[in-house]
Amino acid sequence: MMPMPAHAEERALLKAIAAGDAKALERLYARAETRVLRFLLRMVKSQAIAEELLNEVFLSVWQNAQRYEGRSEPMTWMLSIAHNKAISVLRKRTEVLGIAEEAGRNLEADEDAPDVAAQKQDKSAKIKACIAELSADHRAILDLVYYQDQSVAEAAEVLGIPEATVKTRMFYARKKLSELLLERGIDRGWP
Amino acid sequence: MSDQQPNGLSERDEIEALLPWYVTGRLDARERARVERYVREHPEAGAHLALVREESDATIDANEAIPAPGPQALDRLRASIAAAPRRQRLGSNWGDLANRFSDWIAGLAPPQLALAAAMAALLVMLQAAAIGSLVMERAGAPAYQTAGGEQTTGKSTELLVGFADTATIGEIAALLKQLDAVVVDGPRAGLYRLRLPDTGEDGRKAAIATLRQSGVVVSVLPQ
Repeated sequence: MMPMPAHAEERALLKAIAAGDAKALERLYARAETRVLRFLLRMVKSQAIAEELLNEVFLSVWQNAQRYEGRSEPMTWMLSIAHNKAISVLRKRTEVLGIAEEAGRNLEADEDAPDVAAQKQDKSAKIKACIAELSADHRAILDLVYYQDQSVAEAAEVLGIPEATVKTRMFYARKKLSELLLERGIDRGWP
Repeated sequence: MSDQQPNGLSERDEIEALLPWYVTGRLDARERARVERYVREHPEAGAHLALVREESDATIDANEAIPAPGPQALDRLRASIAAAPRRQRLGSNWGDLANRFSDWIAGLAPPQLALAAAMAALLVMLQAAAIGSLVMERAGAPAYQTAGGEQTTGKSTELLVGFADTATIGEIAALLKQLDAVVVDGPRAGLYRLRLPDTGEDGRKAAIATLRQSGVVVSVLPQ
């Protein structure tokens, strides 16, 4: 579990960034870069694109810090920016391919094949492999809740959906995960 | 995605939907008490907490296996910030043009080929758009604008350069900043015209050497 970030310090940094303090941006970047990169990479599944988007996210923070109203935690706000940028890339990828997300999911799974194949030794590795096969939406909600430590309300803000939908999306993401595990011979007894 | 509203779930499923946040400690007091009461009354539900913990552990492991960005990422961000005001000014039109172009490519070829071709074309277009956004507005000829944005009326010299297809806008902006240079024209035949402060012949040679060794530039033609 990620340790809870020092929200107050991050809020102060955003305030300084809004006033044009570039060093404050670098300090905020140092605190958040890894979490944001991991969230992006898990969504877009391309190191190059994730790093490009990471740059765009913090450029956006620099340009829009004065719009941060403090109603959410800084990390939630930054993940929201990251999610929007990742979704834009995924949407463009789907448009260019001319296929539905489901097919895109399979393509993404293919990209992971060498890594995944080497890890199918135990249950934990199988769970990770199955999570990697989930749709970007389902993978994102798992990441937001389990790794990014976001509450229902915070995940709703990041994803731009109602809280009720966050709960059901998590429910169906986990259900799909169980189905994928069953296909690999692991019956979790749920749902 | 087949999301349903909570009222489409049974009580058991509603509780199941809350378990991930129960395990991460992010439920409010009312919902936490609701989960605990249900688990007390339905001991079999307790076993599902173990499933959630398995998922949580696997998700955390998968994330933590991803290394942190390298130090060059911060350098790139600094360069992007330095170039940001100019990029903003020309951004949207280039984006629309790039979108239309990739849609057109996608309509011509099988999906996989279309993806590769469109992405390659898009990268070249985006680079051209980004470099184009660095082109200074040509006011009076003697006027000179540094990468930092200041205006000066000192002497200048010019070079024609070709940027590597793989060069990012951040790398280009950083190189321009290092040389105190600005793009004043291009692309023409794939080349851009750079204007640099005139620091004499030795300075000019040093600038050319810097450009050639940067990995960002593939050709330099003195004017």
